[in-house]
Amino acid sequence: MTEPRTLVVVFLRGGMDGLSAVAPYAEAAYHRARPTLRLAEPRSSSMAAGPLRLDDRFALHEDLAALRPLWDDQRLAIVHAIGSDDSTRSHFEAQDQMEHGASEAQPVAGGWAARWLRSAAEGGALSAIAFGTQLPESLRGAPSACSVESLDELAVGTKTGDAKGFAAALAALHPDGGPSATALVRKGARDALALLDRVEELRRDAKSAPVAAETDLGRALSQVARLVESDVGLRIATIDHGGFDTHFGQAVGLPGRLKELGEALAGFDRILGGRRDRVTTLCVTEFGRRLAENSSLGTDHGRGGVAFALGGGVRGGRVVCDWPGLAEDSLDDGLDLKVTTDYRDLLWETLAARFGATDVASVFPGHAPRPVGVMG
Amino acid sequence: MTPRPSTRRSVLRAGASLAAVSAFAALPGCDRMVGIVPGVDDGLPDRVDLPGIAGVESAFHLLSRAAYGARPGDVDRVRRMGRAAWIDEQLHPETIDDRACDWRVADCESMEDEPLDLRSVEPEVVDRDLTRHHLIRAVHSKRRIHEVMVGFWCDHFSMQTAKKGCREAKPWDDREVVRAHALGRFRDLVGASARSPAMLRYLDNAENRRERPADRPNENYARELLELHTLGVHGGYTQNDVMEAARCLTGFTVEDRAGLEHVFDRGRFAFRKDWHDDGAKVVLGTTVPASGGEADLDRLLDIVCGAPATARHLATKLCRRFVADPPPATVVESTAKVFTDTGGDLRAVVRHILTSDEFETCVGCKTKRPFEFIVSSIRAVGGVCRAGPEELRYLERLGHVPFHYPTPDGYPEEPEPWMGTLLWRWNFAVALTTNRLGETQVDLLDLAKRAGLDAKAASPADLAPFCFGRPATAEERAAIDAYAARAEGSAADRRAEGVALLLCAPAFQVA
Repeated sequence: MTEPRTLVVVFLRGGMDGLSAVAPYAEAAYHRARPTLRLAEPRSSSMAAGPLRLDDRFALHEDLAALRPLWDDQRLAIVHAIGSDDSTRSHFEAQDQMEHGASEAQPVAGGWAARWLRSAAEGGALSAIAFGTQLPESLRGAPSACSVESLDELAVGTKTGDAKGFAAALAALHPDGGPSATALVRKGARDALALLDRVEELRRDAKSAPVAAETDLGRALSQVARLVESDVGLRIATIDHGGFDTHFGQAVGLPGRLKELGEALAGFDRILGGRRDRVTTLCVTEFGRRLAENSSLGTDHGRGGVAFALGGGVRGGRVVCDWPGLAEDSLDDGLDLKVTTDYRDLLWETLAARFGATDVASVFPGHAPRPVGVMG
Repeated sequence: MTPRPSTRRSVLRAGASLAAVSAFAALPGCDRMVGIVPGVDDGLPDRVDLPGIAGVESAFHLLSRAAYGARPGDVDRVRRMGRAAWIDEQLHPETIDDRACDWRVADCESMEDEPLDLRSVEPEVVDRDLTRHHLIRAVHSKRRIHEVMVGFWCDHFSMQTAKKGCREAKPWDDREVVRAHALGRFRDLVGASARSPAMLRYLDNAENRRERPADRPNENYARELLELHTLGVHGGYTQNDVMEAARCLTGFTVEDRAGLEHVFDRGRFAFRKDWHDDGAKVVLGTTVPASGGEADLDRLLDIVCGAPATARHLATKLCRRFVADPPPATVVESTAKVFTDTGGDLRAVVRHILTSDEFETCVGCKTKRPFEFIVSSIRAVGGVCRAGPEELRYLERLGHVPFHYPTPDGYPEEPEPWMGTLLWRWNFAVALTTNRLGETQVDLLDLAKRAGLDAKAASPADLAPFCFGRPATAEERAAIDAYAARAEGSAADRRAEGVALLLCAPAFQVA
């Protein structure tokens, strides 16, 4: 690997309705099961309104239209009917399972991303960052990971206000060398001081720095872009994007969340500019939603969902899936889109193709990954 | 066993006045109140000597490793008593009056409760009590070696309270397993842990059953018992030993049956004969005869605890914690011999390690993990720890919240995974010395006075001996004095941040 690479994982909390985000418009069963929530026939021209035709089976929700250029550029791939074997359909269980890199057959504690970082034996000053108030389960057990709500928190908060003088004193206290335990601390401290320097530069340029989108997700992605730009050794960033638990009035609630997602991801790609090939972004959700809409114009917890993969290494412009179909006898429990791609296969393919990971047992113990074909 | 601390609740049980006791707890300055209970005081001595003339002195080194760091005055005390006498005193925690610390943790009420009672308590409350209790005792208990061993066993028998059924049972485990046997016999400790509802839940032995011949036992606890708790991963056992151990362990569970006859036992350890595989087993070449029933548990534990590999595994881990990482082979060998010769008497084992030549010479070669850093920081400046949300947030940021590590091998001992935490250590040091850690209080002027320094004229670097066990080097002093001479902020804040620099220095990250 010549240039340092970064993985960004956006967790779409609540169970995004994959059947709306990437609708199987060609299936009669879809239209029957969703009399009010189904997407219209896709438009053929990019000027018209409505869903965007992706291929003979699927159409992209019109509120994800910002992603269309990435699709056309073959930088965005979609995986459909992806998920875990969790059969509880509980947010808590399914999210935990996915963040732990586990399955019902192979329960495992601690986060998959933490295990990956540990197996890669890297402990830079900022190898992992989580945007939010607390560390997500996927990073549980990664001692060097930190959670921040904003990069502004990456600073020494002196009471005198003399952060610069404090950093200078710290630098003077940490010269090179010494006995091994001391030398290790000194090196760690100099890495941390270098990180503070770079973040400080970023803060100075904050006003002129481009923003992916003026939303929480957009701002978090913008900060990731700046960390990538300043080469702090960031390997993974995790961000939550919530609000997908659309049991009620889905047609009102979902479009806004999708629009935010699409615009933030497109904006992220734009501001990464020439560095876009160093960053791979995966958007995952704990499960998809039930095929049939419910009586309150929403959808309930289902099984198979959709994941997006975009950026460096992605062979895009394709919906990758082993489509199980929507006929009643091909549904899970007769209700839900089946899971035909294990979410771990997508994660592992990305780690292997982009980060040279080789020891699958150290990251997804007990799992024998199958190729998905998203990474080129 | 350590006597049960007298807490607010037990005082109430003894009939003390509710109003008077609540008044103590409600007052922000209630540590001052500690002094009015006869014989109960954990404040600093009026005069404290600055430790260390040249090099880290031996008493400071001992306290760094075996006491979560020295509080001002502690070095004087060890010097007065003599190292051997201090170690002897500390190895008998039941003889040390710890009521002052008991008062400090009296509001962590979950720590007194039974697993069943805690099922109805908010998980956040139980977690908060567990963490506060652990942190405050680590800072303030007078039973120093006992607290350090409690920390060691919490890693050795690591569990994550987020696991279902584990949180409600962890306070019981903390009292009746870890604290009760921290300096007892290893075999008793493992025996108590094997019967601990928290451990039975955490490692799934509560589900380990063989009702029908086709049932496959749940091997989780059996494997970790051999791999982590006793023999060690290279301890010479086979996959078959794990399976046989799992058979021995079938039926040892947590009572959870509905019905009146079980009502008083719910949430407690139980042996269910109908779940137990009562055939003969062979573990490490020793036969556990058929029809042993409930006796199978102790037979199994006798076999694995008595194996030479267990002595070696425990000696290695203890020497890694107390001496060096990796530990010198000579001290591991001699410690394993003491372990075997004394039948796993932890007092004898710890005494042997702390009085070994290897312990004495391995100065400054261990790196503090975040929890040790936080505790030793508060201790070095003579602070009073309240363990409010601010400290807990730092533990989270530093990735070292007690009982939150997801896997049963416990938080890493080696320094590398922790090197990304220095920024948050620096922030903690500044927040601590400038009194911005909630109700946790530090009085640096008072400390300087007690040390006989001219508080206003002295340099923060003059307090270095409390942090390093020796005076500041010329380079350290220059860095701190240069900072102290800058203009921004008040003189008091600048002095405080100068002291923070001592806590940030490499010499304070190592022990």
